[in-house]
Amino acid sequence: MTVPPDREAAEPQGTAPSDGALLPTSTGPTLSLVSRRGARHAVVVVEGPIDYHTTPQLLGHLTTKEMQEVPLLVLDLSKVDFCDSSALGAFVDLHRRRTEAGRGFGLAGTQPEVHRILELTRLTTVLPLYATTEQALAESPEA
Amino acid sequence: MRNPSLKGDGGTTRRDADRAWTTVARMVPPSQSGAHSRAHQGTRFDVSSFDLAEAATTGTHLRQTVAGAGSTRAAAQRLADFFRTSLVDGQGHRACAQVSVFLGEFGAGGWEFGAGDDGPQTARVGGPGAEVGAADAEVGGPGAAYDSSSLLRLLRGSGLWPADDASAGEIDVVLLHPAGGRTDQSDEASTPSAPSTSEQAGRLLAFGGPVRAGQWFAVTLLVDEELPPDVTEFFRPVAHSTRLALLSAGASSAEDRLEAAGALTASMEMLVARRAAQLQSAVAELRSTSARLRRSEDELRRRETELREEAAVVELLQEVGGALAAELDLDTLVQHASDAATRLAGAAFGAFFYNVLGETGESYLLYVISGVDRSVFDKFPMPRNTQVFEPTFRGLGVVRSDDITTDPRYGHNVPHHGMPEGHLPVRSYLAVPVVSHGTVLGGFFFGHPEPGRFTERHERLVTGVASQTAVALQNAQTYRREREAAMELQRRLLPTLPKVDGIDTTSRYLPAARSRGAGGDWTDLIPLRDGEVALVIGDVMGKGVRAAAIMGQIRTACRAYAQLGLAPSEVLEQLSVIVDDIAPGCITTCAYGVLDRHRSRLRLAVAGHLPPVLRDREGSVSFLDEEIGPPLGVGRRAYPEQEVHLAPGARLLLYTDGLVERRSRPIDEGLHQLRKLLAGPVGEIEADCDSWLDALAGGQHDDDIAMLYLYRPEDAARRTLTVSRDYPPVSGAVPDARDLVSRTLRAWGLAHLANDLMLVTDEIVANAVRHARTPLRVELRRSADRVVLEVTDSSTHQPRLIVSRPEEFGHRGIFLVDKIATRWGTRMIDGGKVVWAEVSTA
Repeated sequence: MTVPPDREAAEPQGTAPSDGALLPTSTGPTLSLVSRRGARHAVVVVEGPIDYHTTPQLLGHLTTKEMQEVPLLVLDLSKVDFCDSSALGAFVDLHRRRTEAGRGFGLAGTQPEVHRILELTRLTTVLPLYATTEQALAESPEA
Repeated sequence: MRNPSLKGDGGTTRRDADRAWTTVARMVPPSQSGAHSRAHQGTRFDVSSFDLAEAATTGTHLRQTVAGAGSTRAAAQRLADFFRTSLVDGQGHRACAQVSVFLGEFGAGGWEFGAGDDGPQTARVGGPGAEVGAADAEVGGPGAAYDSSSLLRLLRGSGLWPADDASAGEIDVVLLHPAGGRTDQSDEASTPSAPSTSEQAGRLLAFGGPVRAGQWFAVTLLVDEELPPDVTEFFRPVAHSTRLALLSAGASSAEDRLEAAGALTASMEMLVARRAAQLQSAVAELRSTSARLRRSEDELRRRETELREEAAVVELLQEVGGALAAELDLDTLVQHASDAATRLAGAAFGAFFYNVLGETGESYLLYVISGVDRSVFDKFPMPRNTQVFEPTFRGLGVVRSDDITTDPRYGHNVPHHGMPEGHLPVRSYLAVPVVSHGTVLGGFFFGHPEPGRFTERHERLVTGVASQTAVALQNAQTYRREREAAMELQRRLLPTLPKVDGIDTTSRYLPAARSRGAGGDWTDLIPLRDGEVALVIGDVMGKGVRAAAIMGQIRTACRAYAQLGLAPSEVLEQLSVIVDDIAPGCITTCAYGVLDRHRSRLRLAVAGHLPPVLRDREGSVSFLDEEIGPPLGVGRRAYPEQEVHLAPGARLLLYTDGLVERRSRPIDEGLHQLRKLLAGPVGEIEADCDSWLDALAGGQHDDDIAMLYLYRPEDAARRTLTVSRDYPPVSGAVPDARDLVSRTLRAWGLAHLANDLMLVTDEIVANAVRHARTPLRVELRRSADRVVLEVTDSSTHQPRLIVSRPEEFGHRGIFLVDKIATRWGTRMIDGGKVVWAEVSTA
């Protein structure tokens, strides 16, 4: 088995290097995540596509102790123009875990393309959706 | 009581004043009733297990027995009775066949008080040195084994009875030998005078000694069973008690009684001490024995557990090995191996890294994950040759650590100095290389967040799985190589069809589902002069490389005849001769047509082959089965020819029997189904081919399948556009592929389809990255009324449509594809699969 010699850091590369090993590294867009913390809530403004590539980044951001324990978590999706099934899986998982822990969760400002996918998968009946973050903070039972 | 003073004894009748011992009379049996008999009534002492307690209590009973006896002689008789009735054997029967109590007195001779089967007897016995007289023979009475003189001789021989009046020694107990000596000095050969047989060895117990000055006693017990040698020890207190009893019955001084009691106590104490020592050593021995037993029991239990574990290990490994050996698909194999090893290691998660060679010889390091979702690791780069990983990647040996974070090899490399941030926590670490013939094929890595989880047993188990995996990997590689070689042969025999202006064509070749890749089916498309094109499909009966080789020859011959410009009927006629020549008896069927695009005319000849199907522009379907000749290989003969109209918009399908014939389905039914499929909605030719293959064969075909499909577009100007790009199997390929789709559709003026196709592409590519984990190719084709997306990877795993309930986590990807795409499907190709989806532009 050949592996690349130890390097300072793995360089990004998309094709097999000449020494015969493949070093897949993360490329492509990443999410911009901005969190606003209130007394009993946190709003995370997500910007960029949420997909198979970026979902781990989103989940990583949301699985800190602080984020997990905040009574109400709202994802502001107004700057998200694309979601795939990985994102849907993450939303469902977050919602389920937080509900089980007695904490609130909401998605705010879903764009038409994202909303279409939620409708196709009938997740609009499961996930708490709000037109805006303000509405989410005002209407969520945990707020 | 050494050197007893020789004083007179007023308590004893002196029949003879002289000092000669003479037998005088028998005694009258004593009274059977009285205090003495009651005193020991019901008291039984088991001689065979005579011990401390018996020795102690016997004394009490002896004194009770003689209470009120009045004289020493009366006491002696009572003692004889007591011994006779109270000593029993192990079964509770009387132990003694004969009991005698002797009393001797200075200057007065001796008395014997017997107790035998005949009841109590008393007799005078001879003094020291007396000859045994004739009367002696009567004393023991019938049934007694020893007569008085024999007993006295034995007693004298053992020192219990004084040889003369002055020599009564100390109280002693002996086990007499028939020869007259003590058992410890027995010499049977030198005892001609023995009154009994050797069977009486160790059965005559005797004790005696001085009673007081000038008086002595002896007791002989002839026991029915052999006595243990140490019985003499226990009878020592009995002897002293006997003396005390005799003293208490006669006139005796307090000093004598005190002295006798002291001797008794001393003998008891000695016995107790000896017994205590014996008991102590017995207890000690018992203790050590039980400890040994416990140890050996523990040892047994440990060995048993070990063996049971060993057996479980072997069973597990056999099970895993069997499953792995049967798995020829590399991707399935490595996942199985990783799952099994992770389970056996008791790891929280595990990974198997392995090398694969790409088609052009480049090497890829790939991995599978067990125990956690693969996405957990997607964001990390591949492991590098750090000190921790190197022993595994270089196949140097197993690395097992109770806590890898404290290992000296850990944490030396920038930028992370250990595990990258966000990595699953690992304390317990186990890594086992998979090596075959010195080549490192891969490596297993296991982690657990708690320290000290991996034992030597886990290491052995995983090492076992590793060696099974090595064998299985080689099997899979061998199989792959063999199949690839066969497929390569097939590829060379079936080169890619040329592009022909004005018609869209595609072809398929699928080896039988479980074959090694080669078969006798072929298709061909041969451009001819004047815009004509020859369409060929054929089937050499039989399977494998032989059928493929014959097919190759026939196909080449067919091309040659086609280039000569022969008419279809003539080509088949020539081929029939060739088949007869190169493979006599080998049935071969073939359909050969020539399409003249200018005249929209197809001339067709069929040699025993299934009729091609034509779908005209309006969608009506017909089998071209008007004129079918016999199969090839029947010698030179004329083949019939038919002519059909093939206008723009028409489609033509040539196929082999594998498409419609299946063991579980009659051929007519297959043909009927094929007609219905062609009469249904049709579109892009690749998608048509795939969906028909899927519907008719569905991966279950017993025979190989070849198809040649032709479409005459109505507007040849609207050419197909194609864009394709290769990606590595990483999550970053997903946004990249989406981006490609977005840009391409905009360039094609189809921006309104971008969202749909981006989502479809996203899901199919993510699926390939997640499950296939091989390099992949994304291809977009645009035709008149639709855009087709194809994602090709090197895994044979097919995506399945799973409808998730809204609250479920996963499985929405293919569901979304199914909702959004106009049509979608998969098709297996050589060395992998294509997942395609079509979106209508209408």
